Order: sequence, then C-alpha cells, then structure tokens
Amino acid sequence: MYLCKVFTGKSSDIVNTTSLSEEILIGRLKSGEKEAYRELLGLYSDRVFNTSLGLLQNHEDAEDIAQEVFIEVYRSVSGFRGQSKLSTWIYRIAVTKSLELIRSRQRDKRSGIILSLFGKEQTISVTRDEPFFHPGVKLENKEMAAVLFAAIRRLPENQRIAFTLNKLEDLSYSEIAEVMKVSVSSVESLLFRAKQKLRELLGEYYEQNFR
Amino acid sequence: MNAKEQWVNNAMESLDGGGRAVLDPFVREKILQGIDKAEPGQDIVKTGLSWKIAAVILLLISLNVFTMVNYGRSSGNTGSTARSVAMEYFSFIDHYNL
Repeated sequence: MYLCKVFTGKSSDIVNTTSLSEEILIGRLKSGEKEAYRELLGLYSDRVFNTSLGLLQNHEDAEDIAQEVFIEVYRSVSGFRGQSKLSTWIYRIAVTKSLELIRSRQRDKRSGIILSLFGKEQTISVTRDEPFFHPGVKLENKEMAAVLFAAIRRLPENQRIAFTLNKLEDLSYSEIAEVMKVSVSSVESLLFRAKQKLRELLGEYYEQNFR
Repeated sequence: MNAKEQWVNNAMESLDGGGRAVLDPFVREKILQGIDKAEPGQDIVKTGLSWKIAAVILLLISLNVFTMVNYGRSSGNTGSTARSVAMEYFSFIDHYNL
C-alpha cells in the first residue's frame, strides 16, 4: 500500500514564474545544469505525478511515468523552441506517456484474450479494475470518488484527458486546449460530453447497487 | 431532486476541494540520478535535416531506376536495361573521342 503525501490548496502552489524567469530556467536546462533540473522537479514533479496518477489510477505506474517524463525533458529540452509554456510542454509529455502505457496495457489484454481462445496459456497483464483511492481526495469522499474514477476509466481517451486535467489539475479550458493542441471550443465539448457520460455511468451504478 | 440525482451530483463533486498527490522525495532523487546517467538529446534541427537529405537521395535513385526501366521498355530491350544505357553512354564517348 502506498502512502502518498497530500499537498492541500492547489491554488497556493501555482508557480508565479514570469516569462523571463522561465526563459532563464529553460536556458539553464539547455546548458545541462543539474541544479536547474532540481528546480524543475521542485516546480513540476507533483503536477506530473498527479496528472499521471489521475490517468493511470496506479501509484507505481504514475511514479514510473513521472521518471520517464523528466528523462524525456532532459533529452528533448535542446529542441524546445518556447512556442508554448514550459508547463504546457511538460503536461503534454506526461499525458502522452500515460496514454502510451494505457494503450500498451489494453493491447496486452486483448492479445491475452485472443490467445486464450486458442488454448494458449498467457499471463494476462493485471487489469486496473480494482478501486482506486486518490490520496488527494477528502476522506469523506474517498468511496464515492473511487466509483467516479472507475467511471472515468470508461471514458474515451480525449474526454478522460480533458476531465482529468480540469478536475485534478485545475487547468483552465485554454490551458487544456494548449496541452491537447485543440481549440477551446473542442475542450468545452469534450468536458460536456465527459460529464454527460459520467452521469450516465454513475446513474447505472446507483441503479445496480442501491435499488 | 430525487435520491439518485443527488447521489450522482455528490459523486461528480467528490474530487472537489481535494489536494494534489505529492511525489515521494525518494522517487525525485531517483529521477535526478537517472538524469545524471542519461545522455542529452541530439539537436532536433540537425536530425531533421539529415532525414530530408536522405529523402532527396532516395528520390533521385528512384527517378533513375524509373527512367532506366522505362527506357528499357520503350527501346524493346529484353536484356539488361542498365547495360544498354551504359553501352549508349560509352558509344557517345567513343563517337566524340572524349
């Protein structure tokens, strides 16, 4: 069982870096200054971990992805042109890597099922159908939030990303649009449909369990 | 509002007011150690240029092969079209004493 610390009050940890200080940090990262990476981790590691945790709903996977994200940042920062904010770029890497892991798990699951039809013994990868308890959720809401997270798992990818970034990372519609490289109206549409779908799934859960 | 709608509303709001999960400091140190071992990436611009050069060379080779094959068909050669092209080239050289 993992014990994750909780940092309450997302608004208080908004990074008030000016564009100049962000440029300076990017310059130091490009020069390979290790202290700059320590600062980068201080600024963004929780955001990356929280985003990956929300998408993957597994602590080990989220930690692995967090490591991969910052290794990728280290390897790719020389090519970063500053056309987006540093945070946008890092969120984008976190989302991409999380989705890659989700898709690979789904492929393993499908191939395991197909092979089992032919009588081939396969170790099907562990599905993530166990209830997920996010460490940041209030204690009195944990059970209900676990049901919500199970419903989130059933959303289409883009809706899942938009909902997670909005609900768990408190990103605005325009920030989500930049991360996902879509228009703000697309984000509005994705969130509307995500909430509609979630309400439907939650309603079905209620009918099955409380009626 | 009935009980079901209230429950669904409560579930939809269950993430509100919560906090962000914090990455274990031990994992942060592992990341820094991983960065120490990792190699910096290549310059993206140079990598892009080399792919473009490779694509141009491939296009030139394809055009040459396409020309040689078509030349062979139009002249009715059943033998090697490359050989016939080479023979024409050398006869050109001989003719003009190059």
